Amino acid sequence: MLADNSPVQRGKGGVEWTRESRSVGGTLVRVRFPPADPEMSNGLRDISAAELVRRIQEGDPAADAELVGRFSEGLSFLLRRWTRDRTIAEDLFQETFRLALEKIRKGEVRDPERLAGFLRSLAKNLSIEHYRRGSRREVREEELEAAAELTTPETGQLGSLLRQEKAALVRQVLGELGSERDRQVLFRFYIAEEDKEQIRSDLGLTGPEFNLVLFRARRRYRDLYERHAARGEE
Amino acid sequence: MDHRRIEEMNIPDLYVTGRLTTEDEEAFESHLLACRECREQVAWADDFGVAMRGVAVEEAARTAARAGLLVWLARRGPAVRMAMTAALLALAALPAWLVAERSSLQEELTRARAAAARPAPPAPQPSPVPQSPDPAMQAKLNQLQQEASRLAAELGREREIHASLGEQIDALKQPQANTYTASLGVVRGSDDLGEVLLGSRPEFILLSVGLPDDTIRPYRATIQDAGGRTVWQGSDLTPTPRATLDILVHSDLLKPGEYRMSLEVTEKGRTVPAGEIGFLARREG
Repeated sequence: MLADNSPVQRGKGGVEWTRESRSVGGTLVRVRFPPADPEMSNGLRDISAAELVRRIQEGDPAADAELVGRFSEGLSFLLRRWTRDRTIAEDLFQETFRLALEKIRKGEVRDPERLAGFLRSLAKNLSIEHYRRGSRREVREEELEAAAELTTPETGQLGSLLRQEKAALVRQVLGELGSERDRQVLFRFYIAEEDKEQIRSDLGLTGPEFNLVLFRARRRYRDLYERHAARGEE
Repeated sequence: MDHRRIEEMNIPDLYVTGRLTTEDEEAFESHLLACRECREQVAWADDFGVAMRGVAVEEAARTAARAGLLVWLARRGPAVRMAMTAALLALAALPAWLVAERSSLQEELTRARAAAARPAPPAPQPSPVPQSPDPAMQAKLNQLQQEASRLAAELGREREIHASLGEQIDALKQPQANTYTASLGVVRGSDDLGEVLLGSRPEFILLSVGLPDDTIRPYRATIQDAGGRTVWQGSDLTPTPRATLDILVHSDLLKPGEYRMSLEVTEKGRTVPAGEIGFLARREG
């Protein structure tokens, strides 16, 4: 969450930031990235990662915007997955881009072609550091709450209805599976969390056959879900 | 990481269930940063996995509700609720697996019934003895049974020997009275044979060997039978003050026949003969 009432400073490449005192002490710099401006980075869509790094180092504002535009959705997705907390994910999102730009400008990217890997490592380390800083008790509770959210992402009556709906869809998928063997594969893979090779070997499946079962189940689930959603919209 | 490999290996499913190696996970996450299609796949795989577990939790919750567990859970904190949810998930996996197992067995049963319903090919000769489906296994089984019988018989024999030895030891522990003493004299150059009488029952016999001189020194004595086979040998045998070597032997050691006992002493580091005596062991009466 950004401290909207704090003075906004404008930097190179259209990057804005605010400073905010933390309740636990210290100062947190929050960088606000403008949404990727299609016009600004228009000519940079197809440039390689190494070229993008080079341009950022040269101080090209369009390259800064292209970096954000290219990776913001993915980074946000990963951070939400890792933290299971939207607010923390937002904070880390800002911090990752701020640090990434800083390091790129300082020439600290060892392999510019692997820019995505660099960004991912940076975000991962920041996530780990975030949880390391918190007290063990807080982290434990957050993890438990996060796990609760993963299992039951919605609460209340609506949540209960949505869960029932999902469960019904999964039951339908299971019912439509070709054989009992396919059902076994899914139960053992998703619920019992057994080793993939063990399941495959026990059921006498080849690797491609095993993958096909999972792929088919997921595709049927998706089709059913989308059909269901379409009916709801009508 | 290319899309072909991602599809072929079902990487999104492996990723959401934490089955990727650290290296592959890093590579896939780096790929996810720039690939919307794979992010969607991961989101669907996540959703499917959660829904699968939801089904399992529902089944477990039904069971738990019967036991009034949910009422108790509702009063607990989030940590306890989560711990119980995890436990319920584990419980849920069991009936789910059992259902899957049962179905699998039913399939096998159906196949077996179908196979049984098919007319069997005519058998060449019905065998009166039921044959094992695997002759090699049957042969091995027979071999093991024979070995077990042999070992059982051997054990029986060993037990008998053990019992007999026990009786003998018990008898030996009893006080020995009137032990038979056979006096044998060492006479150099004499061919006269002393005599040792063997009783009808096993017993100890004291062989009292008269020494040629009364010098107190250790002797080595060797008894050999007529064939030259050593039946007993003793070293560091100290003579009695009466200049005899008293050797207590058991009658089992001596069979009827001729024997020769040779005595040796060590002088100046060398072993030298000190005398020899022949004796005849014979049954009494």
